[in-house]
Amino acid sequence: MGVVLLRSSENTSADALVPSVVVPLPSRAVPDAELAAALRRGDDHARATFFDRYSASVEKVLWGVLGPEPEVEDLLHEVFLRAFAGVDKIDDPSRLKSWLTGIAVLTAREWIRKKTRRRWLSFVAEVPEPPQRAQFSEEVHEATRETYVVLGNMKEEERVLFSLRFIEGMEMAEIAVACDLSLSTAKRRLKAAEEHFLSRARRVPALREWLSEGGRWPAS
Amino acid sequence: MAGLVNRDRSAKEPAQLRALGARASASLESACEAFGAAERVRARILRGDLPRDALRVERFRPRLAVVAAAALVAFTVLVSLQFASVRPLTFHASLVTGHEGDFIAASAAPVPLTFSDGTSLRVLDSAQVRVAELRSDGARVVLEHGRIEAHVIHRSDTRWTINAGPFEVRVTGTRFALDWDASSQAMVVTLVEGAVEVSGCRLGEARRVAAGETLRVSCAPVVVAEVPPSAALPKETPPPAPTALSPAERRTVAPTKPDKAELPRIERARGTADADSLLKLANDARYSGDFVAARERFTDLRGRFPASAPAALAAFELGRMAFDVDADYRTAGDWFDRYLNEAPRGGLTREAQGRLLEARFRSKDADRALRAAAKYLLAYPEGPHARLARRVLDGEAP
Repeated sequence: MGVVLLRSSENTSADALVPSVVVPLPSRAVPDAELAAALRRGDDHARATFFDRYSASVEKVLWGVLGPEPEVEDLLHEVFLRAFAGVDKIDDPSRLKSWLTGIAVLTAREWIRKKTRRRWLSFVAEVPEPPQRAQFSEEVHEATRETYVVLGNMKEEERVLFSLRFIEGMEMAEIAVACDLSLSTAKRRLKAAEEHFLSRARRVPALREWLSEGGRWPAS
Repeated sequence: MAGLVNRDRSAKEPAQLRALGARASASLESACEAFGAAERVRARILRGDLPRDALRVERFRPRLAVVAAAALVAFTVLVSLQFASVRPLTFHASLVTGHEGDFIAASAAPVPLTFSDGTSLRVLDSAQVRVAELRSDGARVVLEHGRIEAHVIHRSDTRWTINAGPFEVRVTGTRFALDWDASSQAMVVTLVEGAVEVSGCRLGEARRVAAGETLRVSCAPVVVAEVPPSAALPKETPPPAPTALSPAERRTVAPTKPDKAELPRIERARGTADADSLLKLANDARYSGDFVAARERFTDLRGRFPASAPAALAAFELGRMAFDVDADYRTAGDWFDRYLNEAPRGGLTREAQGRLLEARFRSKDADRALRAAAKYLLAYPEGPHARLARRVLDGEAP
């Protein structure tokens, strides 16, 4: 690391930039309701704050529902654009997170449906290839990959309910809100999802061991 | 017999599904972290880009030859861009070639710094700056003292940062002036064009400052710095919080208490100390068994340097004190969680993940204990908390 002590003969005015407006500085975290109001005004800073506050939880929901899919990046983008577009319609601005989780679940479900259609269409016509899959092999372990293979063959709603409950660890009440179902319906359908997952997973060698007693966490 | 075994197994299945889900979640979390989509999406949102999917809709299919030619052109452009973009910026201070780490002090006249991406800085009025980092997409400059004027050229991936004390100014393309008075910890940002984001100290989340606006902010301590030396009496230290340590254990961590006559000097030093010094002061208090003062100093550090590495360490230490001293496992777990979020690759990651697991287990938070256990075991199958992690995953109740 060098040290440079420089003296320039160039002489310019230091007053070229003159302050014109004094901006008051809020020194507290903005509550959700205020943030929603700022989003409605189209405030860029509010958008950045909103993204910083909730992108991690949205990303987590998308990964949990879809598994290791490179298109999660585009979907994350889409969720936030939908949120910006729909912020005027939000019922309770103080509950931005659960509202946003609902949008994330809806976006993920649409993507699953679209992907399923693409899979069927591919038998009858040439369709554009999806973006090249990123290599996740180092981070995503076999059991996780196989879990999503099993989930990929389940009904879209069952897949979403199962992922939100068992992978995301969400409470049933939150899941019911995010999926726009009554609590009892969500529970009933989750039960069916559980049974379907288990009946398929037991046929997969990489998962069979995990679902049998004592075989999941080998002793050190 | 077989029927009995099956019934027994099916009764356990939801717990096994939860354990499998927790493991998948931990595995995905590491993949998600490595993928790093959020930062890219944030940039796309702030630029006002549309989702790629929207651009893909109903495109016509050009002939193969056209596609091949376009691919070749794109490849050539990408390769040349790749070569151009990996080179870090260079800069000149007046006519002298500068280097990363150089310290530049203006005396009577301003010193112009010109960077290879077209960005220019003027170091004014006896100001001092350090060019701390040169990257291909921007640079990080530390304003030690005084005023600079900046004209940062905007490109699609520009990432310029200027640090002034505990503050950070993030720039993507703009003209602005920045004043920093290290002695009063006061900063003034004046925007001429574009916008910047300012974070650090009491600002909490980043504040956007747009063209025509001026942001004035100070990080001076509220009380301690106002105390004149003659009036600085030793501060009465409140009794330490109830402790979960045995007297023998306390003796091992609290060999001596600092001389009370030392306290005013230490407290005054906090007013102008940097993050590392504050961390040391806080640790000194902790080692001496003055947990109240230690907690206050760690909290102060986190307030003044919120996004710094010492702040993350302070979170870990606050967790350790909540765990060891107060036996407040819920609070301890939250602090360890915070440390792991703020320093995911920090030097205390294994310890924090293990403590987090133990804290969740002891606070009877079964669900979060399960997740912490899966994450721990995935990362440290032979670690000191691996046995506890297996017990938790095998369904042992706290």
